[in-house]
Amino acid sequence: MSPMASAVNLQGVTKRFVQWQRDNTGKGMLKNLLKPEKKEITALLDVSFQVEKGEFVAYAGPNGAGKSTTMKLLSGMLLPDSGDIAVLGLCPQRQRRELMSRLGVLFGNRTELWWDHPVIQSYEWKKVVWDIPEAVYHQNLEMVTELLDLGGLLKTFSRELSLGQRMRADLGMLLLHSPELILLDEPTLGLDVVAKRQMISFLKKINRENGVTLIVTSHDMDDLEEMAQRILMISGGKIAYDGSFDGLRTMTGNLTRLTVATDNGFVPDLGNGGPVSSEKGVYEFEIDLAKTPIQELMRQLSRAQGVRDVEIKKAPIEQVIARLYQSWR
Amino acid sequence: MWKYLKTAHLAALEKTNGGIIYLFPDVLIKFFTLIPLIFLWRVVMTSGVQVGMSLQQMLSYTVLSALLSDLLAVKTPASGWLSEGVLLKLYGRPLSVLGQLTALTVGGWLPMLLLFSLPMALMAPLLGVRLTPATPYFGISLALCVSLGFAVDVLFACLSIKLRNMSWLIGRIRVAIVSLLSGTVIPIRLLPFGIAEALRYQPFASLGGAPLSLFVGAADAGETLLLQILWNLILWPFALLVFKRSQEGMVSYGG
Amino acid sequence: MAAKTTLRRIMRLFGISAKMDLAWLMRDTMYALAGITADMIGNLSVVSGVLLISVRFGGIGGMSADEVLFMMAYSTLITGLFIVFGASNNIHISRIIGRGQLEHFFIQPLSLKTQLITYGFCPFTGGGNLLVGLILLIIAIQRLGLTLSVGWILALSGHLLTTMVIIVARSYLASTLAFYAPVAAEEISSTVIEGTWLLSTFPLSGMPAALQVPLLTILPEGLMAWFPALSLLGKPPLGWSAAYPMLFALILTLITSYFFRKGLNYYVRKGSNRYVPYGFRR
Repeated sequence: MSPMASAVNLQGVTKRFVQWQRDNTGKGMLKNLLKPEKKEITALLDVSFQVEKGEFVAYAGPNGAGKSTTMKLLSGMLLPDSGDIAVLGLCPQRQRRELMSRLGVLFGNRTELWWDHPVIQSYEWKKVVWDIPEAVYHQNLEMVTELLDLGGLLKTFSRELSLGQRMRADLGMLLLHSPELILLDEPTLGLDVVAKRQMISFLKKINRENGVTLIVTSHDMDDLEEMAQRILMISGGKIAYDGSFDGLRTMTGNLTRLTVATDNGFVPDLGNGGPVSSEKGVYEFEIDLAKTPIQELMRQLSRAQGVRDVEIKKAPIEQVIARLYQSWR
Repeated sequence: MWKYLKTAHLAALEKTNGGIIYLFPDVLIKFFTLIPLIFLWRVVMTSGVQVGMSLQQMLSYTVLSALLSDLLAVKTPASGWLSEGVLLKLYGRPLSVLGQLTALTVGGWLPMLLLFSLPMALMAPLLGVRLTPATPYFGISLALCVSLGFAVDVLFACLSIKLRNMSWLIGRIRVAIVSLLSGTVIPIRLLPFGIAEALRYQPFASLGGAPLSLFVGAADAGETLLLQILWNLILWPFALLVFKRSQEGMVSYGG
Repeated sequence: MAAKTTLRRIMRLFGISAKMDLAWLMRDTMYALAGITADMIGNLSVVSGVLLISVRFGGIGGMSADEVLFMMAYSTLITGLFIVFGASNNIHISRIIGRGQLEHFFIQPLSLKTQLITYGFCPFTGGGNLLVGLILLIIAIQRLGLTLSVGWILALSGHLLTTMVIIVARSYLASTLAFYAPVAAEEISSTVIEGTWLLSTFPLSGMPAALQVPLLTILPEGLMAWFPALSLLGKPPLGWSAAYPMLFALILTLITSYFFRKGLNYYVRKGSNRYVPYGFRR
């Protein structure tokens, strides 16, 4: 893949931070005055990856893995200690202003809206600051108003918006300058189910129809699996996995949930140690298809007595990820 | 009692946790504001105009005002109730809210008292300033001033709760009004155009200016203490009532 | 979208800030008027103290009460300019740095300089003190019997600009500490500028030179109102040149520029884990 065709290109990027440590005892405080104790944290260690234009990538990892650090490096807010970064063919550190006119960044716990002004005022401010041509502004305004259902919110003061409404308004503001690449750090943080669904649907649409490249971080694995085609997992500052969600399942043993409903209280014996849960004749088993192939599973089920209903589905991705995180500790 | 002392201890530590060195700009600014002020008073008090106070009294008044500035115009963390989420936290603890505010405030005073007030008090004789009280009633007056300061602060905090988004504006107006009307910067008796007489009996005059005037022997102890006690008796019950009524506003909105 | 910063673009940026300021005033009038009133009361309480002393004592250190009034008018004009151009913490930049809000500026396609110059422009809600300062100035000019000329007005403008440059440079110099200690130094700009605002209203006339000189050099409070006011009255203090404040401003700006850049480089290398939204676009 040519670096010019890629939206993001990281090569050998390392980033370290220093954390101050402090004792709570009097002796410790005195010692700290003379010789402060510091701890070095490696946020990213020799990280390399590329994201093609038009991709929708999930960027996941346990707390403290380096996700937000990566986002800040890509947007030029931080300088790497070593390595090269190219975003849309530009160097974030040296060509920040040019990059910002083509990139959109949104952190979940922050807003770009003006608190004491209606949403539309913030949008007009953005039009001037980003120097967005009138025709482009109005076209994008129409699009985001429709797709994000902002019609009823445009004249509302930002401080009066609920979290979900604010996130939608922020997303709308983000898109006004037609960014080619969007970085979203925890965009579904704190949103209710409905708001989440709207956000996910919208992001998938702009990726599919407008070809916008998206990199999204989140702790909500189900959301990420629904949105993205590819997942980059970072742990301890290194890329631990780069591929599809199905590949991730295979890597962790292709966990499957099998639900069996039986008559007369029979407990099916599938030779894997028993069900993980049971309720009123419905038994749930956790099966590793890598160890127990599906054909063998079907044979065992056909021999079991009183089976009324069977449902097979993939284990929740949260469970898959949790196992991975535990194995990395 | 121990819980409140511990709270005060943590409030003091909070100011120094980032490093004592970062308190020094505040200390230096207080110092560099005080020295020119001392000379300003030397210049005007030697102009020949009689104002009922000697130069020595004025210098002592000015220096003591700087040393005890936090006590003379009390400001509790309740002022930052909205922006810093102070009050909501206090309700989650098994302690009296007002007690905690007192402890937090007193604890917050300690670093400046140690880093600025104490050294400055020791240096005062070198600047030709005498820091011995003219009356033993100064201590009582100071205590009444601090008590009244807490009541006034509670009232302002309740006002800012009522006005929500304008809380920071209330803070600014308050600082401006209190500094002029309390006599902590300029003794009220020095104000021209009959302003001195008009402001003598208002509640802010029983704040900083009252103990300072007693300290330098420029006011009658009986009248001053009586006014301070009276304003404490009037404002404290009012402050407690308003505080109780404001509780819902505090915990339901930000806080 | 253009990445170039032209004069037209800067004017447009000032324009949108002014428009939003007016919109806020018109939309939330009570709040805006309360803010204007608070600013005016805050400033008047500072200058009225010195004025009342000068009236009570018939002047201060050789300056007449009317000359002190002129100096207070100058100080109020400076306060007005400060609020008009710096209402959004763009002058108290230690708050922006300390609260981790600098990152909001990094995602805009403008240079940091352009953003900081245009960001806090509030001509409508911030103009209260400017108006009061102009009124006081007119009264003082009348009482002093000063003759206004184009040259004098240009000199006044020059002094006002120079004083503002000194204030901004001082604030930014102190604020560099916030890059290294964001929590501890968050309010350092406020401490340095507003903590010394009272001192800047003191007429230094009659004080010993050993006090005046440091207050015109090391801690330049004497340059905030006293020196420029006396220079405009044709009596530059200590026999110094009336252009001295401009030289001081230039040197201070160069020093500030050096340290601020260093701090900014440090910041983008080390980053900031702290984020507090308070005071940003609010």
